[in-house]
Amino acid sequence: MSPETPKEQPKRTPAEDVLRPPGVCFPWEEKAREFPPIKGDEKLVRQIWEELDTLAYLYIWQCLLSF
Amino acid sequence: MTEMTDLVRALAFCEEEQALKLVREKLAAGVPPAEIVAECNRGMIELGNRFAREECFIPDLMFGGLIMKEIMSELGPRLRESVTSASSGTRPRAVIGTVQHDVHDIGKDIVVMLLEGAGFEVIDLGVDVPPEKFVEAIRKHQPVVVGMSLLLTTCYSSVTKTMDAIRQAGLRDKVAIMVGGAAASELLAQAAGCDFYGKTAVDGLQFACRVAGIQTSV
Amino acid sequence: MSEQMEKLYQERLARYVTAMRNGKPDRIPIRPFVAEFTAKYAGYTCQEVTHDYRKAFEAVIRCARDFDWDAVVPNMVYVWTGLTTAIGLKYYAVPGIDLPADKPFQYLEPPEEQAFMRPDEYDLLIADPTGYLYNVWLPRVCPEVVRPGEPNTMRNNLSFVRGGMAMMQYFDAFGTQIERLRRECGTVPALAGILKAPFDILADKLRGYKGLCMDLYRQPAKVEKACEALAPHLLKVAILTSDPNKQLPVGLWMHRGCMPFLSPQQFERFYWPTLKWIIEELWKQGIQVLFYAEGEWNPNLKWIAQLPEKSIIYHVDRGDIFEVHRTVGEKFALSGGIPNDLLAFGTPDDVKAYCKKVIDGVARDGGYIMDASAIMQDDTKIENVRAMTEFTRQYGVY
Repeated sequence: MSPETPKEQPKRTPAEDVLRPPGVCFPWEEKAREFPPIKGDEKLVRQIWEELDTLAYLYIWQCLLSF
Repeated sequence: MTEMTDLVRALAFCEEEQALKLVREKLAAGVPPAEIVAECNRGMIELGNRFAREECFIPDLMFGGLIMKEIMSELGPRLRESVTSASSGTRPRAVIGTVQHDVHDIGKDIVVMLLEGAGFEVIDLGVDVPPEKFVEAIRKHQPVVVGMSLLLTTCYSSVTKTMDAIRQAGLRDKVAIMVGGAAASELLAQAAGCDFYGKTAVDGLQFACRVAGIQTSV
Repeated sequence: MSEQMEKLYQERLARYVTAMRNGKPDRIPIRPFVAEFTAKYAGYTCQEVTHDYRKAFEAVIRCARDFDWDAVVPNMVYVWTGLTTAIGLKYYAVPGIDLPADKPFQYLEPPEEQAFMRPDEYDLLIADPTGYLYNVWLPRVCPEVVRPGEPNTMRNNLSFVRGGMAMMQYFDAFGTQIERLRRECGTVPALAGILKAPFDILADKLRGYKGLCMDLYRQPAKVEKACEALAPHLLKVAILTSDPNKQLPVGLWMHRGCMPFLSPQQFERFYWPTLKWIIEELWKQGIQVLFYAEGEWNPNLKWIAQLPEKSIIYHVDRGDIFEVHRTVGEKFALSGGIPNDLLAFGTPDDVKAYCKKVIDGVARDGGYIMDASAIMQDDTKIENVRAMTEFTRQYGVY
């Protein structure tokens, strides 16, 4: 996708309807819709997304628990 | 033990609706507000007694305290009119505070609530109270009892410093001094030279009532 | 790493793990929960160890080098106020800023009417705990952070960048600290991971204890549902932060679960079910929990006894450790029981006598770890910790 092309925002579901299980801030299912069809290894894209999204999860829960 | 009146029972068992209903009925019937407060005081003492017997716990004391506050705000204006002729001048005084460098207030607030409920005039110094503020309060208000609260072991030295300051001011024999809270103990009370260690808020209430000559059985 | 030091480390690890699984090692392990005590010993102020974690780490290393302890928490001054200040969290009294430099940090619970979670927000929390924390709780506890929908600010963005990077740096640094403890001192890390009871999260960081007490009467079903909504997340964090080798326990720091904060009926209904579930789920994965029972927990023993054998190490604070041993000693290892006021006001001989009493009473069949009742801060006398250590080394041999 060209960086100059403005992205059309995908339709967002209300917060209450988004499944946000433990470990998740922004679910892969939601994120995947923002990509064009993935040309390479989708499992890799998903794995890295979920690992880094879990860091964001840990951030807020560590604020609550440890700090 | 005399039988409990309905209002005493309502407070002792934290029945919010019933307590407020009875207070309103008594007001409408012309019962003097000070008499209603005195009856509520007995209810709070009985709540404290129930706590001492482990029939109820801190959430009940908190809720009882909330009900008492609601009652006092119902009675408020009428009480202020009758206070000039009432015996507020003869109410025993207590000075209560959480010691220096400790900011916890729940235990202190419960003791304050129980003492007020029992008829004390309480000077609440708040939290993180330096020794000199305790001394100043004793000089100014001449309480019968002083209560120090602490939740942190790291504040043992605040208790001993406060006791030293009271002794140095020549006020030690003027007042009974109790210490309580999660970090307090008999050993601390002895090491610091306090008169009493209250394991629970109600132990503190009963000690204060003994000192002031207030009866604690309903 | 010297062979000798590694040999010492392995001995200590075996001793510690054996005792935690309620077995009988070669001698009683010593695992003191030392927080600001380490600062006192190493010559730092509370401000230094609280605001600069590198100094806190150094203080622990000095203690581990000088005291013959089997295990120690890599840093027990757990709230790094450098981080909380960088994020902009407003609920701490910070040594050197709000308190004198020589006083430990304290959590400031807000007045009831300013609780961080309002009484009508249970449904929001229950529907989406993570979303609630990010969108409602964090902006409330951190004035730097804007609520979604409000205009963004540079300060908002900086709060997240500083906070995120500082948190990564801090947790990464624990790896180096644990390696130093092993290499330089042969000392084992005492814990790995963090857990709190759902009810305590509600009471401490969300509704406040006073507000929650009112909720117990006015909306009890919501309190139950909130605990149920929080539980899977607290389990997840415990697992994510736990020891990958499953040798070290997760630290569970309990607060309002004991009398007189709750009645036995309230404990059974509100506090216990979700906490029990979390502990059982962790144990299914082979992860133990260090059950830090702050205050007087003995009236709750009949429920604690329901937990699976060896799933917890029961840490005793104000409870009668002898009764704990009689009631649950066959199922769980114990630690603690040496009173903090004795360590503050007593003599070394007093401390040794008490240690002997506890060892004779609860340690003879194994499954006991020597420690004070509560976390040791700056009131603890150094000679008394030395006495506790040296006596246990000499007397606590199987």
